[in-house]
Amino acid sequence: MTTTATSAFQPSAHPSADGTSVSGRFEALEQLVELGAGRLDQELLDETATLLGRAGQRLRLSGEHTVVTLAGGTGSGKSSLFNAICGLELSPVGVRRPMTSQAHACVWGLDGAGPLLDWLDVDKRFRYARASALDGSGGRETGTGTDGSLQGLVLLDLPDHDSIRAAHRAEVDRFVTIADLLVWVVDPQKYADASLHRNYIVPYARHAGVTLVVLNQVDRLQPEEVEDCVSDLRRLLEAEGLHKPRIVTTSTVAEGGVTGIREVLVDAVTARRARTERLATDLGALVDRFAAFDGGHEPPAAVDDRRATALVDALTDAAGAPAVAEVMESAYELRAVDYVGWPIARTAARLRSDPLRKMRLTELRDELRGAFTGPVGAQQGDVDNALQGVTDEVVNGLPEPWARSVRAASRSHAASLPEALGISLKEALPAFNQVPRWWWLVKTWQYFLVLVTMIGLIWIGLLVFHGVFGADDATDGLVGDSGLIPYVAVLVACTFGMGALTSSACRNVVALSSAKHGERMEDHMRTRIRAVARERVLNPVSAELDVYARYRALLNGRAPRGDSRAL
Amino acid sequence: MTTPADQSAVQTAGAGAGTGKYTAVTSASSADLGRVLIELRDQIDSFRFILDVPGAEDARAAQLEIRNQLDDYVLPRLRSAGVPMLVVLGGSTGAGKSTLVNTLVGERVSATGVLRPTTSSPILVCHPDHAEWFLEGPLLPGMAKVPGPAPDAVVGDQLVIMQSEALPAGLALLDSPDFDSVFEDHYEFATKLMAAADLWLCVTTAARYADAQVWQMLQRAKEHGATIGTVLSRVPQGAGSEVVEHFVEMLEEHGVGEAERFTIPETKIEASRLPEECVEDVREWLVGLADSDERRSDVIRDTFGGVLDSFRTRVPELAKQVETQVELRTALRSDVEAGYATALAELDEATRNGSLLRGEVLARWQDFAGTGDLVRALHVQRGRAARKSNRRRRTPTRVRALKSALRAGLESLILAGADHAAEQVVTRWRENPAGREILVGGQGAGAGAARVTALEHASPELARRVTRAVSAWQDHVLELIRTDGVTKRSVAKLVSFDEEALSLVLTVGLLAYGTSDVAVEGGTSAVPQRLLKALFGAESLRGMGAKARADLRSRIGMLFDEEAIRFGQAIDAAGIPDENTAVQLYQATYNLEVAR
Repeated sequence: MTTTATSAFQPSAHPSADGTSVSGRFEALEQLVELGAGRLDQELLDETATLLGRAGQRLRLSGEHTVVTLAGGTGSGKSSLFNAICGLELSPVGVRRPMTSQAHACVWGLDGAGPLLDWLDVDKRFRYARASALDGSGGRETGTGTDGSLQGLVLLDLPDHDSIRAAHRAEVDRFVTIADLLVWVVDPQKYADASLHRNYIVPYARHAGVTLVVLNQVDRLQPEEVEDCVSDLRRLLEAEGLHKPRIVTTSTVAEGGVTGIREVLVDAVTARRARTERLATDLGALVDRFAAFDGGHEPPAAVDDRRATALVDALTDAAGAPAVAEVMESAYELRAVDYVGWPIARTAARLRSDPLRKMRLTELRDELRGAFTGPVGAQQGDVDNALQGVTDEVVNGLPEPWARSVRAASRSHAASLPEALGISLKEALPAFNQVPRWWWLVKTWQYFLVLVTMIGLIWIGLLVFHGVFGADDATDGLVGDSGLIPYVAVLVACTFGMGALTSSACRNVVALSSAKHGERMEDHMRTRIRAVARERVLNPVSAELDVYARYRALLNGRAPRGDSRAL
Repeated sequence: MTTPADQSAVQTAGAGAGTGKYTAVTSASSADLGRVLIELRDQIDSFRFILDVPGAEDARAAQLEIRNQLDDYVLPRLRSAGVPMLVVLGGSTGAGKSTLVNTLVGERVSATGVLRPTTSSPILVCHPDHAEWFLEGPLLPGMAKVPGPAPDAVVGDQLVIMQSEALPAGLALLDSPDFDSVFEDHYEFATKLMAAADLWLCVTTAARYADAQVWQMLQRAKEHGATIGTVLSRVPQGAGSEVVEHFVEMLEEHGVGEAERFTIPETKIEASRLPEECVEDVREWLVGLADSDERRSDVIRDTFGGVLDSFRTRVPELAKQVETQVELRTALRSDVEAGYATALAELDEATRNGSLLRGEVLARWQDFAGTGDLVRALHVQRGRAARKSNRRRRTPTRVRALKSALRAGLESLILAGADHAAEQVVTRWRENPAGREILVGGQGAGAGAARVTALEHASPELARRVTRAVSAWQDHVLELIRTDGVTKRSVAKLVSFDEEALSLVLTVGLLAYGTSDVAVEGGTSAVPQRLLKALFGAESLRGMGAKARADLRSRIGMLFDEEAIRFGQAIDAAGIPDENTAVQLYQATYNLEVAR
């Protein structure tokens, strides 16, 4: 009564292909979860971790056995079918609904099945074993002529999924997520029920390769109606995305009514592919969900130069580098005045009326002079704003979670950036604290000039004194000759002028060199800021982009390893 | 909102109440009742459940149901009390509803078959006397009605009306689509028709009587006040009594034990009909009800009363959901407020703890203070004019530089604060399903994403506003110095000062060191304070500081309020119902009770 020739359960041409596909996907998924941790949807990661755990467990358990579930609505005759296949009345059948409330298991070939059944969590009271040798001689199906053996079959009779007992549905849900081969049992009355199609057929549409739909109770239909019914069911299943659905009709009352399903089961059990195929489909579905977070094209490896330069500019502004350089210039010039300034002019300035002194705040002056403490950090607000647009181009075309993680990476050090900038600026400063040797020379020269001026003034004083008091002994021509006064006065005026000139000339030189220093310092600061930007912004971004690139490589590398299209 | 049809409903209901040939559904005050019901319908029509929160989907369905039931059944029933009793056959796919109808009518009016689901468009069979009323009348105004027999390929939501002499005048049978097949529109029709029934006959089979869906529908019919009958069909020969007993047990368990029960055995179906003896008791019961005016009006009145009774609980439940939505709306609003309040507090802290005195601001301040320009801003009273020219040459550059550095620093602080707040709010909304709903919005994903990006950052015009606000604040500080900055008399005799420079000193003192004498590491710790205190005195300085700070705070607060408006608009644009809706719903329920 098999209406579809089932070839998918035949041994594969490449027996090892599926094994590598499963383990390949397994490893790829593990790495994908690792890369996606903290970046992608947590729900997906959790689900994947759960499924990987489950798949790992199933892979470690007996590969000789194929777990087949009979699931369906209440009253579709799952238990009758189960009994018919087993050839014994193992699962109770009756007219009351719902009938079966616990999963029943029947195993052909017990070796290694124990741990598997434990894992499946089938109640020990409902486990039955059929020795393969007896299989052919007992039960109702002796005359079917199946030469294949069911050795390795673990057949599960599940409770219904659509009755008022909600617990049944939970049980069904649990089993269909771990079974190797899903058999949905429907009957002519219920085959179009929404509860089956919406809750199971559609979500498991990908598993078409390990799904079998059984139209049971065909004895209730006229022979000509069966064909209509099957084609309607097929149309329905195909509309729901089940690719090439396999449909088998059965009848537990008619003679030879379960031959079709037995044949399919024998094929599946002999091929021993259902397990890997099921897991490969599960894993493939997950890989596809991960693939949703693949933007499709290779992301840039790093932030482009334009943005990087803009970032350095913005950070330079945030740290106030030009201003710092200017301040340092001012401080340098001020300090230079202490050395190269004309001491007499400085003394005169200090004698001027001082508002601070009047306010009794004289000590403030020194404090103000000490104000040049150098750069301290940068404005957090400026830094935040500088980081704002850095990744705009890079995240273009990236899927949302990755765009977010790249953006987060650019800001990962935002809080420590101001301080880091301050430190890097400070490191650029020392050149300004030096006192050039020529300042000392000028200072000595200036004091020499002061000395000369003083001497000249004293000389003039002595000359005047002699002139006034008319000291007659002209022995000392140097102090006695009042005619010298103009010459000495000229000398004093000259030294005085020279001091002032030296001062202003040197200040010009200082201003020039300080401007040069300033420029050099700005360059230094820029270099250092660039290093900071690279270390704390651009490198984290590149690292994140690299993670994404590896993620993509993993996803796209799956094609040669496991052929998902074929499933 | 009251349409002419509604008006007539009110009038005819009033007039028909006493004179109805068959039955009077309600008391004499039915004109009032009609008006109240129309009000209730308009009320229910007036809002939408926007936010997708747990329960919203159900509430949306309930809202539609109540509204449809009012339009499809309650108002028409109120208007025309004298029309036949409408019996709707509902049930699982493959239960044999159509077969039962065919058998009762005595001819093949509805298609039967083995393909599921069989019936896709509902078929109503009535006595020829009433065909016109069903065709033209107010019942089920949302459905197109076509006279039967219609071709098999009837599309969509059309109600096929068939005439049959076999039915008594007081009875109409409606074969509705199933409620559990893969076609969702069937379920919709089934529930819609169930709500319009005077009597709902639930048809199920021995194989499916334990289906969850059957009991959900029975529960629903019961809650909605329908009068229920049950038919258990396809009962296998032999095992019949066990199944029937179990079914009865379950009926009683679910509180529908008083419903009339019938059993039809699994038999051979010929010409789409069951053998007559199988449906004898069903027919007897239905005809009995239809022929006796009293019994029929009892059924009709029971159902009508039941439906109105059900509004007593259903409408308040709706109102409760509305309240949930309102609460969510409030929660979203408070998210916005919290986000901006936090940002404001952070800003307050940042303008107090000296973190503003960094980078350029610090450099400019050092430049200003260290080079002596600060001291030069103070002048000894006499001889001021003499050095004027000398001063003017350099001071303004440094003062201007400091001023603009301060402005830029403050601006970027505020902008970053606003950005941060917007991001915070969006993050919080993302965590909340209702918030996500608003963010993504009703439009396409592209528009939603664009809007999220827009909301996530401060608004583009904020930069301009901040510039304006900060320079206005600086002017305000300058004004404060001018008006409030009365120099201590002892100092005033000796020293005068440059207001602009002093206003900057005050700003630096205020923003970088706080108003009180806080010791901050670094040589310039309390320089501004000491200078200002010496000039103005502690009292006056504190006053100015407090004023300037309050002014800054209120300006930033205003900017943030304007920013927050965008989120408010997003919430408003979503069209979440407000508090009034719930109150009005409660009021409408109360009015209904009064009018009955």
